[in-house]
Amino acid sequence: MSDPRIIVMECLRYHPERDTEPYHQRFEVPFTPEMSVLEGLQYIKDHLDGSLTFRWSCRMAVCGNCGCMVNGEPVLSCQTFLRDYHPECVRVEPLDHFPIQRDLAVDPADFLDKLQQVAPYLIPAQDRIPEDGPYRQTPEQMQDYLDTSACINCLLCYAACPQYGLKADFLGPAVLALAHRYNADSRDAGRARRMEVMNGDAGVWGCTLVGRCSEVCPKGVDPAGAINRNKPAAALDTLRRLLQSGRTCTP
Amino acid sequence: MTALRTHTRSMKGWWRRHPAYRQYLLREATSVVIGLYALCLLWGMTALLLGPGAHDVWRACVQSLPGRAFHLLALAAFSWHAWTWFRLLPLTVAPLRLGRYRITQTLVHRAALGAWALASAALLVAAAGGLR
Amino acid sequence: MQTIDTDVVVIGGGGAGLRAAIAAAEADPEVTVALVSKVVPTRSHTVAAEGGAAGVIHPDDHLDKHFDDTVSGGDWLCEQDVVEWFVGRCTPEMTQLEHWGCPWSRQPDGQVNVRYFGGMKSPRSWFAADRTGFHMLHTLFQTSLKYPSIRRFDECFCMDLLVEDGRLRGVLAVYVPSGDSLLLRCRAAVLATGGAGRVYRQNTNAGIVTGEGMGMALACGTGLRDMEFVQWHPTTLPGSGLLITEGARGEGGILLNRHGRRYLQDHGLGPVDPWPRPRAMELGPRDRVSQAFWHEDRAGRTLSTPQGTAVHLDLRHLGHKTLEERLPQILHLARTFAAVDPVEAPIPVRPAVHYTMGGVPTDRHGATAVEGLYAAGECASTGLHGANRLGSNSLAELLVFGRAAGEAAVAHARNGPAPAPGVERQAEAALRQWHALLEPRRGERLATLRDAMQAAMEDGVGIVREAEGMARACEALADLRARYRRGVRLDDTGRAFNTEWLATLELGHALKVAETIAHAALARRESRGAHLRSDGYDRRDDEGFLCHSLAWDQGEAPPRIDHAPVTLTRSAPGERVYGGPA
Repeated sequence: MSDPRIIVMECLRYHPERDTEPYHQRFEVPFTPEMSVLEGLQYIKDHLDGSLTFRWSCRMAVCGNCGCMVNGEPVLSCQTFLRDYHPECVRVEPLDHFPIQRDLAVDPADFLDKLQQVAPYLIPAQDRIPEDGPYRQTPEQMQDYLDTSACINCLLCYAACPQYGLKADFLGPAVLALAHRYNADSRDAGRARRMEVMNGDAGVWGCTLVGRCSEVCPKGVDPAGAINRNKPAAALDTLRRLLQSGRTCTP
Repeated sequence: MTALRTHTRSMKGWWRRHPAYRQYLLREATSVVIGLYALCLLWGMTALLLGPGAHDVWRACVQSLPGRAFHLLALAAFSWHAWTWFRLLPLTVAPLRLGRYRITQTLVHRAALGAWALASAALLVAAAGGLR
Repeated sequence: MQTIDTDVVVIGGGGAGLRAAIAAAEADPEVTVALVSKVVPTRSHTVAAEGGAAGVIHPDDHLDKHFDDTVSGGDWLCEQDVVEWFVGRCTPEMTQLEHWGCPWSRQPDGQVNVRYFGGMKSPRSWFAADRTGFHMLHTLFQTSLKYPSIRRFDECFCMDLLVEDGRLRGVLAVYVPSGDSLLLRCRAAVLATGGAGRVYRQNTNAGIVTGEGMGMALACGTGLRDMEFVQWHPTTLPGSGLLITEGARGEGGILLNRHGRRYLQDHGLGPVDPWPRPRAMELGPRDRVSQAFWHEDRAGRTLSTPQGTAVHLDLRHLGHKTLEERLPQILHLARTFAAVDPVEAPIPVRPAVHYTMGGVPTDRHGATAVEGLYAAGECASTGLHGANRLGSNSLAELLVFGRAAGEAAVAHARNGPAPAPGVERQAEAALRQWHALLEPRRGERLATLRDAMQAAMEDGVGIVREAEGMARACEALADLRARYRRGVRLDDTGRAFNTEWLATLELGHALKVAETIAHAALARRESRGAHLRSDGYDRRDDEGFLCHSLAWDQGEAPPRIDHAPVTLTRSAPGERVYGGPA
């Protein structure tokens, strides 16, 4: 193999115990054509500065741990390659719209809290025990929710959603997509319960259809689609509530 | 446990961060022009009710240079809004199926554009007929 | 140091840990469960499992077949009573997961579909396309959110198990983002920390699979069992070691050497026809298929790639539609990380370390030698896998034994003594020791020691082993441990989100775990399952070695190895026959 070329990686640095403001630091990294941005970061950590902090785990775009902004785009650093940026510099920053814990690591707690709110689990109409055997579900029925079930919680969609950055209480793309995943599952009967959370300014109406979330999703989840397909149902739900409250008011 | 200090970045100037955000804002801004055009149309209809005098004033205004410029602007705004909105349209409809065939998002987008073109053409034909 | 009292601590948020936590919550909603994971649970390595999870459901299949495949696949080193117990519980667990929403792939009529994996007499692998582990993990994680008694401690790194008089008293952990320490005083704990594949350089494992759970258990006296049995997955991408699922061969993929020959027929897995047939050719067990690669490589019949030698995994004949439907992730991985489109061209693959068959010895309820400490999943050695794990048995294991351990931990916690106050002193002492690693001093870089460990393991304790190489690895590891004790120079000396410090801690454990692998391998003077020797011990020796090996911690000295009998119930050791006529 030919000698490795050098690429400049400019990383955002922030240490909560020392820094009041983040700053950028440049590293010169030798790279080969198959090296990812993640491997560039690992090279820095191993050889240049062991204090550079970033998350990673599987290296194969399925654990969702290595999301960051590369030259302003939210990406998984494990499947973003240095060769595509050379000879320009690569700017690596933590995911937009999240609080920075340290360097490239952001705080995912808000996402995890919101995920819990939408009851992202199967709520069956009737209890079932293993002895009853599996549900029947045809491949066609599976198509209704399979795309949204592919969400790896990498949070790239949140970094691409200005509404999430502007409105802290917005549940956001992935959480609403996962709520839709269960709503669309033929085995589930929990739609009404999820609707309480989804039908509100923090829910589907917080989305103004910027559409970037679906563009940056590395798994083809299409959160924008999932959210907006729930708007008609949410509107009907509001109408139903209005009618019901009207009925209870009249003697 | 002491809470860890984190750094929150400001959203100031967020639309400058990505061309897609500027396109999105432009799409939203076209609604203002579209709203103004609706008012203009409403004014015309009201003038029609009020009598020939009022209607002539409205027509003069519309045919004036600023009036024409406004209509060109409105046409551009409508086109941009339609184009960008139709691109997002597939996101708002539930997945459609024809038998076993799944209708793709591209098809929905193209069908919407086609319908738009047809409707515009029909309107133009009708208007041409009216003028004759 | 913050102190929290809880009934049960589950260490690890992967498949086994989540299943254990759910089982504990379901067994008794009054019991408090702390789920401590060094990553957000959805980042756990279960997520990367692709192919499938075993459970008898196909009309042609039978529990006895699952038993036989597992025991012969494990070269008769399995605890047969455990295997019997296990096979009967797989399908109810798969079904339970289905009721929780797991999108198992279906047949056109809506019933669950199953496929062949290597070493199976009948199709038995439940699968969710080729993202089985991903869907299982997310289903378990999302389901776990239902239970208010499960309190999660995400990104909380477990540093030590606190044991007093042979009884577990608590768990010492550190919040990764802040660096603050946490003492969980508890009545029982379930260790579900996964394997140790990262002690090798070429592996399919996530960066977090560093073996510190095994190391902590070893240090508190549980011993480690059958550590020499390390599984090489036959089909991974050269260089990165990224996994190309066995499901690819289950769907009909074939392996070719540089001459285009299906070389497995030359290594006891043939003849080729009729194809496909179970337990033959590409559907052989992992140990045999990986060992066949080694022989081909030695004979110069592999291809050379910039990332090392390889053979071809050809999927082209399956067609675009089948690949998109059954193996979408394989398409993505090959296209993204190997620049090969499997629709158009064969994928270059080679073996890489995938799984540690050994681990913390437990009974079938996950109980270890330490009272109150349970273990489940890859970190445990229930005796299920023997000398070679059958593909699809580990995802089933997570569920069956995760649940068993969770339930057993609850039963123990209900009857066990309340958390005692004395454990704080022990925690303080342990903490001082770990904080000492932060003190800036002279020493070597972390990466230097880590790379040397991985190289020593790769060179000395590989697919095929001989005494000289293993002894060299043992020496190298002893030397590395001495260098580690002399000091690791950290660039990062703060407490908050100090991943360099935590990686140093992991490395300390990994070195000890690697040592148990090398020493146990050297002590096993036979070939069995994944442990293949080329130095005169190339046959199985049931007289001398039909026994488990046990590695015991000796502090700074290398581990002591002794042996323990294997439980045989109804299958006497026989010849492992793969291939042959249909």
